[in-house]
Amino acid sequence: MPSFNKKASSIILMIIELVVVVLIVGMTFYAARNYAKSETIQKEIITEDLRMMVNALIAVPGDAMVKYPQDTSAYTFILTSQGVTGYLKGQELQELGKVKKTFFLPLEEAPADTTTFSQKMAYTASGTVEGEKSLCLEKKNKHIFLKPCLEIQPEVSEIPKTDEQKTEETP
Amino acid sequence: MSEEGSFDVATKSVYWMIAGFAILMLVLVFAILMVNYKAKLLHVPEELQAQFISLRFTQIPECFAYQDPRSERVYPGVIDISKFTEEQMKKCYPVPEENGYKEINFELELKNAGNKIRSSDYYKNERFRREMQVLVKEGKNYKKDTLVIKTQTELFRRPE
Repeated sequence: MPSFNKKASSIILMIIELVVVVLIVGMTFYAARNYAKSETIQKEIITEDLRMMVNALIAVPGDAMVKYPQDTSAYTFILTSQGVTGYLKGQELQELGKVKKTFFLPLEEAPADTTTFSQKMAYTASGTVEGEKSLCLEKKNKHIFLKPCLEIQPEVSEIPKTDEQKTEETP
Repeated sequence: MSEEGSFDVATKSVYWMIAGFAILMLVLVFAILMVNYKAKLLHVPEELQAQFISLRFTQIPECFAYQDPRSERVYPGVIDISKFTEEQMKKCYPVPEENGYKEINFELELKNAGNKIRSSDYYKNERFRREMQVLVKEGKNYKKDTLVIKTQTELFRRPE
């Protein structure tokens, strides 16, 4: 009888151990998945994307506008001629949570001293977007603006009329 | 305390010491895995970053693209040889002097013309290169050439 008890208890212990291991592995994957989708990661990804978009826009000879294809309502982005800063909306006082990415815009004249940014810039960049669902980068002449995207509504005359509307119009 | 009791206490202490060490190791491993995972998630290929920056070299008049002085029309893909200087490179891609080695730097070479220019902190640590066909405007003539864009990525310290 005592040997049966010992065997039973060791099996139960093994099952408990297996359950615990499966739970820990599951929790690890769950935590990693949530972390990947978290706003902290997304904030860094979007800020880097904005930097690359600015670099691409500089190379466009004319004017252009690019819409960022993702919901950005949880974040604030600030664009200056030195770089782009991103942080979670409402956390402007927390320096640690801010992501800063720099870029180098072309200058009007070759710098005598490149340790400062006081040179006359040929291109400039500016704009702040706070908690906007979609954001746009617009290049106009030699300035790049970061601004909320307005939904582009087609002109009324451009909307093709449906068959119902056509029959309504005819007397 | 009986002999059996003291044996029990000793066994439990050893067990918890080992278990504590194992848990600590697990937490450490998990933290390292998460840091690596984050780096993997945020990784952007350096080639892509360099390509976006280097687009400007042949596209805008503030870099090396030819601009007709009368009509002010810009000719993307046409390099004005009179602009192909290091002075112009400093205007086009002004990396800061004190820590420019931490940024992406470039050396541009026109194969046929034989001209080479580089950004302020290029130390010949070429990581990858890209070639593109361009037209070079020299006086009134246009010549076909190949622009080689050699890229040096972030360095951890300035080479001596």
